[in-house]
Amino acid sequence: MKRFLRSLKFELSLAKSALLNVPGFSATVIATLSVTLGALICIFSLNHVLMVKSLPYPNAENLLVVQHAYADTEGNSFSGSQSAPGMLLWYKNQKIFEKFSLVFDSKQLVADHPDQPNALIDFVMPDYFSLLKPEMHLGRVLNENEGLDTHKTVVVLSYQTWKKWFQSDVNIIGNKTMIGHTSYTIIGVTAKSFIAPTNRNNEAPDFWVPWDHQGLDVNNWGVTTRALTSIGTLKKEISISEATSQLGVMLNEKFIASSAAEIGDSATASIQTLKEVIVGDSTEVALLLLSGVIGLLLIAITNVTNLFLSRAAQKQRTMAIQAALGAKPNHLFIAMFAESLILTVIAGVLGLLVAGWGFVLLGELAATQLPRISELGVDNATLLFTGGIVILLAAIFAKLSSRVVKYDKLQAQLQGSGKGSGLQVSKRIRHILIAMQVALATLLLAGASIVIEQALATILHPLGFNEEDVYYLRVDRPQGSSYSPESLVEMNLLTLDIKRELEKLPQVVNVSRSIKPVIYKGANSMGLTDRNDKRVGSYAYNMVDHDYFDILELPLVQGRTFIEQKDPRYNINEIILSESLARELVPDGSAIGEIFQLQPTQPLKVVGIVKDYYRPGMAENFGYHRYFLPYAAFENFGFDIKLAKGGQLTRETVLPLLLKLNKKLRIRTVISHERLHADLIYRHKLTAGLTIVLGLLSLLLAAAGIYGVLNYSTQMRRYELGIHLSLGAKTHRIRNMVMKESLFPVMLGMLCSAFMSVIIFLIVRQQADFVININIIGMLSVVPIMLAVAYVACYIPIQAAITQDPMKALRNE
Amino acid sequence: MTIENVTPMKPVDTDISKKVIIEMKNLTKVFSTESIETHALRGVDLVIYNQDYISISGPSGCGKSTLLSLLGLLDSPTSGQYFIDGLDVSNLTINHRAEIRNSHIGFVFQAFNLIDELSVFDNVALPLRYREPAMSAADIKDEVLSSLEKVNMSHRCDHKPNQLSGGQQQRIAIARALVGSPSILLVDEPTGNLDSKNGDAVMAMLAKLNDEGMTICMVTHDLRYADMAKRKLHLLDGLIADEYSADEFISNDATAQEAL
Ligand SMILES: Nc1ncnc2c1ncn2[C@@H]1O[C@H](COP(=O)(O)OP(=O)(O)OP(=O)(O)O)[C@@H](O)[C@H]1O
Ligand SMILES: [Mg+2]
Repeated sequence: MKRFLRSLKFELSLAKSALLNVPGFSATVIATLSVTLGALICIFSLNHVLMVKSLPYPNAENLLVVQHAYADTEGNSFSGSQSAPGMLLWYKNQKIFEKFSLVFDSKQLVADHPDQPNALIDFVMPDYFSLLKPEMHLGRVLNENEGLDTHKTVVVLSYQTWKKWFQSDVNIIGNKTMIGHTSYTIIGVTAKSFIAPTNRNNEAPDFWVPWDHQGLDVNNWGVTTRALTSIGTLKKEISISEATSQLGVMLNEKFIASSAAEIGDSATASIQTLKEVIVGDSTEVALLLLSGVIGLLLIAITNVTNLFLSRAAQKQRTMAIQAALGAKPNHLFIAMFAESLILTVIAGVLGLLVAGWGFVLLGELAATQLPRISELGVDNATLLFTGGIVILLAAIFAKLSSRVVKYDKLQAQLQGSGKGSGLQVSKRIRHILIAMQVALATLLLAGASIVIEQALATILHPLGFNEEDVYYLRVDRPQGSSYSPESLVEMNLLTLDIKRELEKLPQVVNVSRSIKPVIYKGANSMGLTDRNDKRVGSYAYNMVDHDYFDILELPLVQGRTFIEQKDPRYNINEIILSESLARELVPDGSAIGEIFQLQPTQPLKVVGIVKDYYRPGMAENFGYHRYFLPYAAFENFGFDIKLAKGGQLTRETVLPLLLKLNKKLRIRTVISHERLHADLIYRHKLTAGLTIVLGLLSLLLAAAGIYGVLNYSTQMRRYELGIHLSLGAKTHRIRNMVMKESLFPVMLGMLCSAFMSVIIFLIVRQQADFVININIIGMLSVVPIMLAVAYVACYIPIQAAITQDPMKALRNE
Repeated sequence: MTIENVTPMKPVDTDISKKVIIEMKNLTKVFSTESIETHALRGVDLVIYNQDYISISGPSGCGKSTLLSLLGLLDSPTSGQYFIDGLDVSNLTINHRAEIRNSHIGFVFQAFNLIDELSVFDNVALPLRYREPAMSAADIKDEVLSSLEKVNMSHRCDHKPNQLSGGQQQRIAIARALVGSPSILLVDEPTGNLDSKNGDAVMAMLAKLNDEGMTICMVTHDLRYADMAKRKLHLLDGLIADEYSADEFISNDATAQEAL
């Protein structure tokens, strides 16, 4: 080993000056590898962070999340959505956690900020901080006196919040800020380095306030939400399975006794590590990306191998001299290795820079699509990986290129006048290289075409309703309003007033009330029973008024819309079903007139059936099942506003109207439906975009590789071609002859890729739950693209060789 | 410098007292291609003694270069036996042969075969880099400089080969061949790429080295230079045809015509 390093050191100095003499070769290798390594390092880092790396908290492996899991008699089960009473039950009665905190997150407005930004608030208990142990930039975290039922109005800011909304004020501790309707005293700012656990949408909290302000209905077992979760560490002597069963029994007992449970329903506890919860199923995306860049790497390796083979041919005389002076095959390998190592190390360093840029790009593009993006960076693991891959690649290139040099034939280089006969990389090797590149690139492109096609299907899918010139306005209920029947009447009246005020605006054509936007990320569903109290399923729903379908231009297939409710006392006794849901619930005959119920004693008569509409990203089969109920001012207020063509609606135009009606009203969002739609398809656009880039890159690399191999081999044949030409052969005949030979391995590569595709398809189909619609036409479209690129890559070097003066080739100029 | 070493010239094969460096017994070399077999050497017997100065001449294609590459362990014989310093080297591994080339043999080629990317110093140092056990940098420097001094080129250490004249390059090549203190210098057409003035200088240098005790085996077409050797071998069709020692000089016009 010592000897190896010693001779490596010498060979490195030799290689350095040798490479400076072949700048074209060096630059091509470095460029190809640095781009590829950049992509590889970036995606490796992503996989490492998602799958291997611990969360950045002390004792991170022991941080657990306990959640609810429900099952009914029909075998339906769902988990990850919790009721407040269920979680509080655990919090108050459990004896198995060492530390335990409930966590609820919700969006609220920072009311005393001039922009009234929408912030993410985490409602937590003091243990939250003793578990995560954040370093503080200023002040402190919640202490033991700010736990459950203490109602302290204190708030901790994240460093980023402090910077963006509080001007990095160093004297901020003790100041007050108004979040939602509550005024809190600022007690601390977390350190810049603290990376808080993100929620299910990969969002990091802006504020932490004591749990008591969470505003959930703590007695209703029927309301569950994914925004409510927990974090804790078990006592040493308690195992996870013990904890799961204890908490499950505790929960089930109270749940069954509650009014939310039907006969046969059951509830259990499900414990996962915090890491599992945060990372979720994003590893699939990460692995997909990884397989893509590995494909890219293989193409790049083929390219660079070819360059190294030509380089070995060039270096033969030097190697022959070295051999004559006593260099062993091993020495020659080290000499080759020294050259390849210099190049791969430079490419590795540049690759790290490219990766660094990739991290920024991922942060910009995918921060809400993938978890833990903020933890990406050049760390020890990344460096180690880069170092390893750099050495491995150098060894591969050195090994392959020293293999083509026949050590015992080298002496031929030394005799005579010193011109020597150039080593020819055999035709077979050249053909294999080209075939491999074509096969890999075709395979990668075929994969890319599937991904792109699926993304496009979502992006281009018609919505089925009119999104143009329709805005959605969401208004926070006034502070202190309750859900009592009297209050609901009052709120209903208020929404009617708002609707009337909005209709007075010149650009507004029509307004309808609804409790949710037509399309949004996630879904809220509520169970329905038939007239005999038998549960029929849980479906997405909305509460809308009579103008709703009109504004969205959602045609009614049968029946009518809701009657305009003049009476502010809400009265929910009608239901409208989507076409798919109607077909599901009443397979034969019309659903009109059927009775369903939300709860026993609340019969709903089907009065209309409305056309299905599409929510991007929702599964085809289930996504169209929806029902609509008459509007009531539950939750926050929502308005769908139809504007005159090209009209605009802003916060500034709407806010004065609202404040005129009620000083406590706050605008949550004003957003066009087109924008809502764009947000939903963003991820698919991103996927399509990245895949197209990857596809183009692999096409480019493959083209460069084919060009490189053929350029080299035609160079080698110049003499032969020159003789043909000097004997009077027509250029087109020679071109045809050489093109035929060159395109043979291209065809071979295509065949290989077809073969590999079939194998991969068969393997993938073994996965039981893998459903993929492969569009053969889409995949076949790859073939002409690949052929065209290969044709051009073959044509250029051949054309260059045969259009020159034959004498030049004969003189070997 | 060591005048005592220059012994009166006698037919070499009679002087048994000299140490044998190289011995070849019935060595053959056959090149086989798909269709034809070329018998380049057809049973060569050759003994080389310490401080010999041998020239090998003969018509083109008679096997001179083949013989030299077998002598230099650059190629392996088809049959026969080959000893260097008493060690049978006819069937050694590639690595072992490399070691012997490194320590026992110095090469000088017609085309100089210097490495263009390396300085004169590094070119000369090259054989020492492959030495096992490895030499210290200081030792390498001493050896290289003293070797360059022998060919009067120590002032050109930092030049690159392409900054030197052909004659100078050949002297560097000789310095490189000498640096590892080899048992024998194998020289293939040393003047082929040089004009007569430079050629004469190189030949004078070889003669001087031989006077100082170096064993030399040289292939040359040029009969003038061949005559400078103490033993003159004539190769014909893969066999050693005649051998003359320097003091029984016989001119063979037919051979001279053919060789030129
Ligand atoms: N690698 C090889 N493959 C096949 N035949 C070879 C090979 N090398 C040499 N020969 C043949 O062996 C014979 C001897 O060749 P060699 O190069 O030793 O001749 P030479 O005496 O050095 O000639 P010259 O004076 O022209 O250099 C020739 O007939 C040659 O064609
Ligand atoms: Mg020859």
